[in-house]
Amino acid sequence: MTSQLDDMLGHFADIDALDLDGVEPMTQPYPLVNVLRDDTVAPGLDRDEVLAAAPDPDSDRFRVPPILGLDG
Amino acid sequence: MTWTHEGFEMVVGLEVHVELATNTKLFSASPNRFGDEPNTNIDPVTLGLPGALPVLNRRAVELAMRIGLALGCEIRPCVFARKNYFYPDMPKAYQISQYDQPLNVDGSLTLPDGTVIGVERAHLEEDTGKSTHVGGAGGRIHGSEASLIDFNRAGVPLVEIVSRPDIRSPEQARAYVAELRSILAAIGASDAKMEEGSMRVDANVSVRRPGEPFGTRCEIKNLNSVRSVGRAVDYEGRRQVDLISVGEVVRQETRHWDETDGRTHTLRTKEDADDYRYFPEPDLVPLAPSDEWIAEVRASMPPLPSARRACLAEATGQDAVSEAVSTVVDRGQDDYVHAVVAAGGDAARALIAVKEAFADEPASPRVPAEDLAVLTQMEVAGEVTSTQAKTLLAEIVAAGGGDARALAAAKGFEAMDTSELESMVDDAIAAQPDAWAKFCAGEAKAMGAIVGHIMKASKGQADGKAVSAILDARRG
Amino acid sequence: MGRAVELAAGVRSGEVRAADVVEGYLSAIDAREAEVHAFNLVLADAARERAAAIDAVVASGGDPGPLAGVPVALKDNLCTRGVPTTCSSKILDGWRPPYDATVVERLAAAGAVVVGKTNLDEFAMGSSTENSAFGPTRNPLDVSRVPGGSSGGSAAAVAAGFAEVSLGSDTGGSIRQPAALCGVIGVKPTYGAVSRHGLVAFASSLDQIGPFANDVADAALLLESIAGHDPGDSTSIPEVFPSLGASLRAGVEGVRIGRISDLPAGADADVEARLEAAFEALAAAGAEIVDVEVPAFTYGLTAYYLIAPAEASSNLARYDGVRFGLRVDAADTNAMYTATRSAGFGDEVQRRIMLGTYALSAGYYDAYYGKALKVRRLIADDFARAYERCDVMLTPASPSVAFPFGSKTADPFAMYLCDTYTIPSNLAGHPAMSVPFGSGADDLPVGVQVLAPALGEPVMFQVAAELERRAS
Repeated sequence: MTSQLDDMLGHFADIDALDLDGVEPMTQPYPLVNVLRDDTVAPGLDRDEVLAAAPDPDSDRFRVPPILGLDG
Repeated sequence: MTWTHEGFEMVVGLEVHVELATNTKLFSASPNRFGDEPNTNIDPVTLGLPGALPVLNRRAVELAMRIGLALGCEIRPCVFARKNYFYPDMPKAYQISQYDQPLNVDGSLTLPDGTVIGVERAHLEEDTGKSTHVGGAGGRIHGSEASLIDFNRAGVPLVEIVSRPDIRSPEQARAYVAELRSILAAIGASDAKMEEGSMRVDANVSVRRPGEPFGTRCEIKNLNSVRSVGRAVDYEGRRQVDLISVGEVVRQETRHWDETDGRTHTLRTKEDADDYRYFPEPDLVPLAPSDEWIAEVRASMPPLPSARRACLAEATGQDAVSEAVSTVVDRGQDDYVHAVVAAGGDAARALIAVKEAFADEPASPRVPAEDLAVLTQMEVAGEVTSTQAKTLLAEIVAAGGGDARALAAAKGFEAMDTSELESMVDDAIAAQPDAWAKFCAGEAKAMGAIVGHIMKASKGQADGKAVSAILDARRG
Repeated sequence: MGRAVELAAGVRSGEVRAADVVEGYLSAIDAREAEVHAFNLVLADAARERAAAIDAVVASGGDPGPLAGVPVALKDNLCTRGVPTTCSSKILDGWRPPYDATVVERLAAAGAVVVGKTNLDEFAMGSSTENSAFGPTRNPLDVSRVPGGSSGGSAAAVAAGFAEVSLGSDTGGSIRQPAALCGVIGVKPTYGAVSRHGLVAFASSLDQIGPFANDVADAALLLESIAGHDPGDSTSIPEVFPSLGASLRAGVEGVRIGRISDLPAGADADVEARLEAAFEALAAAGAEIVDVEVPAFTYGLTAYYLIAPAEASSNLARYDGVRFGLRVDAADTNAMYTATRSAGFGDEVQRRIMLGTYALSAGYYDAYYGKALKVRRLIADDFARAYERCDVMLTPASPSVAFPFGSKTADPFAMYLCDTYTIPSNLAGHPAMSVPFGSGADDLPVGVQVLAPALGEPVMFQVAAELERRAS
């Protein structure tokens, strides 16, 4: 798959020809700003329902195998 | 107080994560509450379920702005960013945070002694869930069989406050944390309790010879109290200097502070650190608080601890950095002291009384201000000795109030008048000629025997201060 | 009037029973679903129950809503509470969302009857529905050919008469291209016009939900039913477009239709011919054809295949086996992540995650993702300039008619080229729709794409309605 990655990146070299100096990156298609919500509690999900859908539920928490990568 | 070890100085920056005192989480309407049953404050956003979308909490932004203003920051238009990494307590496998355009920048925190510590930024981000490890020694990950994840805390609003590396001693580190905690509580942004995890401190420590470029730094985690901050920073500074002194190199890494053995230990090396692949959060839009909103927040801010200390110091004639002033302001009881003064009480005595006897009282104590005012007036007028006043104070606090005059009368407290005192002093000098001689020769300690004689003879009713004054005057 | 519009009117007035309507569509499903495989899940019982409930509302004098009794199919990346939502992926096989997507709630409130969850390219990544973990969907018009993708199931369901209308999602063309290949109408609305709450995210700044229908009027009705502000989606536009009814009748007298003179080549001759015919038809109807240039249009493909996989690599990181979905057990969490995701994701998804991770990685961000965001700005600016001189533009929706299975799977890039004409609208956040306009090679349908500026749905539908009138 990594060689396919190289091939694709090769196709994408066409944008290198463009002069992008001073062009602002566009992250949002529609210019909205300051979308906020009130700090009011709303009903959430039922724990039992959620844990029933979990791959390895404990009685009240989600269980996972040992977390590697830390000696702490 | 400077810290040096073998000619090196320490360079410390502190990163403090603060849980905001909102009703709901940063991006969803689940309750923001400590101590609930695991996984009872969850919703699709909290769990990172497919299709869930974040919506920003207005109150969290307000509190973050308060923090920025309290630290003298510039509040800027900002965006949110995704910090991508895998960890079981990270439901989306990315944390929504702020990266190159944070909300608050370029502030400072002035320590009580006047030292200014720069604050680089204070930005908003969401908290992770909590994992507990089962099967390993002491609940640690190492050797564990499994981990259990609780997502109640996932999504709780945090502000991360990053200081500049301006701290140069353990004392300054402690003072920074203590003052920051005080500020956060005073402005209502957070209850900032390290012991509950609503304020978490990481220290970045490096060492250098003064004037040289910064050395390699290590990040220290697991600092659970102000005291730990000081101890850990001191240990780490020494550890690094000792390494360098024997020709070794400080490795850039994250270290874990162990409170029991008083040392830091390697947690993980930075070389293995994740590339977080930050990019602007496409599910949120930019946040640009208007000048009007900023002005509103500024206007609604309670006074900062430094201002309150200055005010109390002026009212009571004490130093702003004195323990009495700091303690009383920290407890939020300075308004009460002002109330006692307004009711005619003696300011200096009121301050001492509140400091000494109101430790277990809330910010608004039960004792009516007028009651304490009367007691202080009695003490000033000499109607009761300071010892008697203390006794009355304890009773009044325990009862949540009381008429000091009535109580004094009931106990038969009354201060002795001056001529009575003078004759008791005569008797005591006659009874303790050696002590008197020593006292006149300059031994201040010798006064103790004479005063003790008088207190015994008067059954504790003599005013110790008045007696000392008479003795000093007699000595000439 | 559209068929769905008529149906709803009949049900609301009591003339027609929703229960009878839905039986008709369920029979169609019985007859051909085995061959077409439009659905991951047919919801026959639930549909019957719902239809009965609607009839009860009408019988008691109530109004079930503007889509009363209309059978609708939902792409299986839309969360349906308690009903499996798989995104055609093994990693979500059997997962039942605990909540409904906003569009699902709005359809229910409008009285629609959901008949099933439709097949898609896994996690909406593809242009042929061949990337589904549960087998491909076949084009009802020619079962040896693809229906297009990623919303192939939703397009096929409408083309085959399994539902009168359906919802799909469009990130780079995933509604418009299958619509073109199946000979139906497919609409991608303005970004932010329809709430994404409950749409399983592929690329958050590009995804939009939109309707498939047999008639432009039905597409308009469905779009109106689901569009509008949702406080649960921060990117949701506060006020969208007004009602589209008037636009459908307005005609195109004086409307300026842009022909993009520097459009990238690559469309087959038969497709080009139909596009030409469309321009002629609109000119004959009184429209003014204007030549415009969109120089950055041709770079859309590259920008998209950097931005979309980048966002997807982040959006799909949550499938880690911890809280829901597939988990493959392992000795530690890192091994669990790897094992789960290797087993759960198909090749195309893994390919895009890898590409996206690379495009965002330290040292490469500026060269790839960062650069692509700037190209995106150029495209939006070029569109803005062009729209000073025209009201809408016309392009092919797909470079070719429906192609045979397996004909584009050898080289991923060959498949990516299917999105050449649809991608720029996603990048700019503009609305666009595909309208069937005659046939091409092998008598297969050709779709003409109408593009409009942000919130330009009214003029877009105005032109689409005229094309529909003149298609035959």
